[in-house]
Amino acid sequence: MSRDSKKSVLEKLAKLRAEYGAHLPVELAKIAGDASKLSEIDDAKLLQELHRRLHKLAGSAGSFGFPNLSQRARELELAIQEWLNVGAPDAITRSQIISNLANLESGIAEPTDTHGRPEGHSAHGPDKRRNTVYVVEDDHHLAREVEAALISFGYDVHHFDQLKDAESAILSRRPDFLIVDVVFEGEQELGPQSIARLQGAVDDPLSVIFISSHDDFETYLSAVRAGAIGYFVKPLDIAEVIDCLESHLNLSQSASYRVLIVDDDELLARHYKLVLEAAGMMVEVVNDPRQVLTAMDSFHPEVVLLDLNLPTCRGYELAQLIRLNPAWLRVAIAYLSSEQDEQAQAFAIRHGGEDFLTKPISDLRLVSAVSVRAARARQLSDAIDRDSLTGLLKHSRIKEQVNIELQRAARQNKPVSVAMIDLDHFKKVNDTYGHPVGDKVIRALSQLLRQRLRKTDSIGRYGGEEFVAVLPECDQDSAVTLLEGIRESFAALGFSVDNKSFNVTLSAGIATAISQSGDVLEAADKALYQAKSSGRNRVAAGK
Amino acid sequence: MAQLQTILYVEDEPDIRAIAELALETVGGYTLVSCSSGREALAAAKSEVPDLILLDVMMPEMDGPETLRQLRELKSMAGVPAVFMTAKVQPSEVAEYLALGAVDVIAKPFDPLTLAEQINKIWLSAKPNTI
Repeated sequence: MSRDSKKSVLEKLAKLRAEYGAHLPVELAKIAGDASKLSEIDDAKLLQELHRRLHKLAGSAGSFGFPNLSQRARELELAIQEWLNVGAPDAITRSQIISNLANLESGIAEPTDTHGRPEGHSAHGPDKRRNTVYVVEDDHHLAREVEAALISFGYDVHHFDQLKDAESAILSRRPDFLIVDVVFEGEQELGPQSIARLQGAVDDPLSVIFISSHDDFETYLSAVRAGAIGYFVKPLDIAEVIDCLESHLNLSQSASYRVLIVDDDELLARHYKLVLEAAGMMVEVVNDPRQVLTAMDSFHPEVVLLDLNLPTCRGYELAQLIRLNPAWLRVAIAYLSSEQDEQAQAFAIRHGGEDFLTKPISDLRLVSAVSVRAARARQLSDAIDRDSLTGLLKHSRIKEQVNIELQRAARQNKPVSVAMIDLDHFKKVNDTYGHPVGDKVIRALSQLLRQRLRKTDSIGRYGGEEFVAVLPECDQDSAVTLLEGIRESFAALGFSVDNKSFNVTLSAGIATAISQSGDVLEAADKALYQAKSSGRNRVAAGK
Repeated sequence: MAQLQTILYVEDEPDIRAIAELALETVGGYTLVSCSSGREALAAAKSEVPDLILLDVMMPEMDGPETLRQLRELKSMAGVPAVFMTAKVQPSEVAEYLALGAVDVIAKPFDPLTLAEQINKIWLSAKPNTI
């Protein structure tokens, strides 16, 4: 698909989502209306109608970017189903169901983009939805500093002096993050208790980051109880705050988990596949154990679910077989079997797999067990592949990624650009301000790169102050425009040490391969050299 | 080798139909014959034989399985691979659909950006059995 048609798909998709979203309140109001009658009567017809509406909602909302709403509707659908089959639940469950039905609309908020950032580096910069941050800070100097940093990382920032000013804004338009400078004594209006009260007023907890001057167990605990996802002690290291925001965004936007199911029971495997897919995972099923190697190679699963009793071999033999390949060491292997014997289970775990899930397994338990393992596997894999300071790919992995993308581009006859980026006069920063400040600069650049590039792009820390970005399906002009934007934003970013502020610039070299693989990295390096020798703080493109 | 081109798609919900049309026509490049009911699908099947049938399970009047049963009575439609879409997943249900001659079942909600790929995969793996 060309960039243009991809863009028009995303536009159409956004339009369909908006239409669906506009109609949702009406539908949810109908559900809430029906629900309110349930406290009085126990009418089968009403229940069937509710069941039908919830079933429809569960099946559609996720396709329109409301996965949470889908999930909630599905849970309620099952509850109503049981009500229909088994009879009315006890009073407490009943009132819980009714209140959940009435509160479904809190699942709408903003549609979550399940596909990460919209693809395509357009000439007008990244056209992704900007994440909103509300900053509650009475120290105007600090507020301005935080605001400036967040804006340069592409956030949409609103500043409030007092929490009570922010409250109405939060209720009318929910921010992605709320940063609050909390006060623990005196002014109780800004204490963790008032944040906790605010969390009670919204249905899905807000992602709150606390800024505080306290650093003890009690205050950390009260922050946790108020739903804090981050806690930073003054003097504030803004880069750390941004790290916190970014890692949370990465969690919610990251690609679907990949799960391979090996089970000769075709029907059951299909069922597991559907359950996991409905929870947003990518699943492949292998019924014949002989196909496992091919599936591992082509699908790159993060979790493998193995049945124990397979034709031609045992599940644990398959686990060992997978473990023979060092490239697959990071894959999580769990047995999913009806084997009840503890000895047999222990034996299987000693031989290759890590964990035992027993059949029959409920849908909920399957989804949670698999997603926890996938998340852990991914975390581990990231720790192996990524540079600890920046979270970007390490030297060898980014080189590998460049090759993968070059091959893909050649196969698909599409352009791919590689940018080599280097900080100007970085040694001087280290010498003047010390290495910790130098690290801060490096981290700031890596955050900016992550913010500006698409999810399909790869970024690596190539050397000390040298970075490489691979931009698939990006021609040279788009790459230059993109890097120019990054160069300008980075140059505008101010760093401050002991009340002295300074700026750092970068140079970049770009090379683009079109359906041919030469040494693009070397060409980018040459272009970078050209940018450096013609005065730095500029972007140069090679042939 | 024959490629997947035409899909007969039956879904009663207009908004789901709209997003599936986007997913299959614009993203996937397939030709879609969209029908809002089983009855409409039966009429459409008389004039054109698709490469694949895609049906929602839960529809008023004539549901997905019933629609497929009646489609299968048309000689021209007897060998066309069929896929169900459902928001409900129970093991017994999957078995029932496969017994009806469906080649696969797709979970709802689906991802509009990958639906076409998923359908193509199903089509490729279904072909050896049907052609």
